[in-house]
Amino acid sequence: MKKNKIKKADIVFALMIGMVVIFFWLCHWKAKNGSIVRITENGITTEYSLEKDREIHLKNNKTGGVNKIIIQDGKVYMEEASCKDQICVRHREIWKNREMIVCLPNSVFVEIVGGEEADIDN
Amino acid sequence: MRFLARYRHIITAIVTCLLFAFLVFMGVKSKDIKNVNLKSSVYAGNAFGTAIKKTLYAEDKSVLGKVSDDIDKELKDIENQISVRVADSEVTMLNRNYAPGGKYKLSDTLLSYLEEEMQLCEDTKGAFNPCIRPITNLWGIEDGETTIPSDESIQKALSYCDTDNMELCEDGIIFQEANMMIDFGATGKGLACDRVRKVLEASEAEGAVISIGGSICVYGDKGDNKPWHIGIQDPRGEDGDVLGIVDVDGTKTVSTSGDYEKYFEADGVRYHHIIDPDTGYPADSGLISVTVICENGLLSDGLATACFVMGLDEAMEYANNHEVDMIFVTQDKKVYVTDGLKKTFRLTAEGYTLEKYEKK
Repeated sequence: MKKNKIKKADIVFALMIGMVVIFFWLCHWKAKNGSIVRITENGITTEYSLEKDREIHLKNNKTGGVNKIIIQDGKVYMEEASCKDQICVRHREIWKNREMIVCLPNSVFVEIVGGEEADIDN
Repeated sequence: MRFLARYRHIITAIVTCLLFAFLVFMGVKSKDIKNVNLKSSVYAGNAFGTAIKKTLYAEDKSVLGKVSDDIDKELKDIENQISVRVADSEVTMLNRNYAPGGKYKLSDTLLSYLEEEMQLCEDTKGAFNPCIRPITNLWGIEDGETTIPSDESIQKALSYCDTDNMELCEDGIIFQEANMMIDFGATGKGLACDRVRKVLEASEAEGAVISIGGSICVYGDKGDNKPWHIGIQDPRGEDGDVLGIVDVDGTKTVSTSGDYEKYFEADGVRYHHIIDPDTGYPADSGLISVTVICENGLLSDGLATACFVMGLDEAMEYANNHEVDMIFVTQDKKVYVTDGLKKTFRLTAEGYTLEKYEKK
C-alpha cells in the first residue's frame, strides 16, 4: 500500500487556496480603506483618509468664515460653522461615495470619494 | 502536512469550488462594468442663493468640465433674467417700472413662463398665484425674517396679489393696480431644470442628475438603460436624510416643497415660507411635504407649492385628473403616493408609515 506523501500538487493546491483567500481579503480591504474625504475651501483642495479620526479646522482668510469638520468612526460631519444659515451643520453625517456637505457662505465643500456606493443618485 | 496529503481530494474540490465561485463573481462584475461604461464627475456650486449639485456621466470624462461650466452659465443667465435679487433683472425692472393700466413689454421667454404660470393658477383654482410677491415679501421668510407681520399689513398686501388685476397680452403684461409684483420663487428652480435639460441635450453628457435646491433634473441614464434612484428629503430629518427612494427615468424633474426648508418658530407655531394665497398666512393644510414628478420642471416645481397649499384630498384629486406622480407627507407622518408610484417608491425613513389613500 502506497504511503500518503506530500506531493507537488498538494503544495500547489495549498498555494491556490492561499491566493484566493488573499484576493478576497484584498478586495475587502480596498473597499474598506478606499474612501477619501476631499475638502475644498476657496478652490484649495485637501484630502484625508476617512478611516482616521481627526478634527479639521478651516479659516477663510478673506471672509473670516470658520468651519470645524469632524472625521469619526468612518463618517464625516460639520461640527461648527460661522455661517448664518447653518445648513451644513444640520446636514447628516456622510460616508458613502459622492455624498457631500456644502457650506455655501464659507465656500467649503466636503465630499466623499470612493468606498461604499450610495443608494441614491442625487 | 500529512493531514494535507490525506485530504487532498477534498481540498481539490474546495479549491475548484472557490475558483468557480470566483470566476462567476468576476463574470457578474465585468457584465456590470460593461453596461456601465460611463465615467462620472460631481460638481458643487450655488445659484439663486441655493446649493447646486451636478452629477454628470459621459463616456469621456474630460468633456464633463465643460458641460458643468455650460450649465453654470445657463443658470447665471436665468438668474439675471428672473431673480428679484438681481437689481437689473427683467423681473426686477418690471416690478419697479410698470405703469398701472398700461402695457409693459416683456421678452418672449419671460412671457412664456408667465403664461404657464397663469394656466397653473387656473388649474389649481388659485392655490398657485404668480403675483404673490407682495405678501411673500412682507413675510420675508426666505430672506431670514423671523417676525409675524400685523394682520392689517397682511390684508393690505393680499389686495395687491389679485390675479384678476394681472393680464398677459401678445408681447407684454398689464397690471391694473399699483404695488403689484411677480417673482419666480415657486417655479424658478423648476424652470431652471427645464433650461438645464436643454443644455444637457446639446452636450456630450449621456446622463445627469442636477439638484437645484428642491428641484432635481434627471436626465438620460448611466449607460445601463435603467431608471435613476432619487432620494426624497425626510421633512423632519437632518439635511440630506432620505424619506424614501423613488425610481425616476431620465426625462423627469422631481420637485419637493415642504415646511422644513425655510421657517421660523414663534410660540410653538412653525411659520414656513409657503404662503396660502387665500389667507396670506403660511399654508396650514395638514401636509409637511409634497413631491411632484413630471417632465415639465416649471410645472413640477409650481405644483409642489400649489398642492402643499391645497392639502391631501384636493391635491390627490388633481394628481389623478392630470396624471401627475406625487408623494405626500402629512403632519402625523403618514406617506401617500399616487398610483403611478406604488411600485417605484420605497419608504426608507423610520417613524413614517406608507398609507393607502381612501378616496373621500
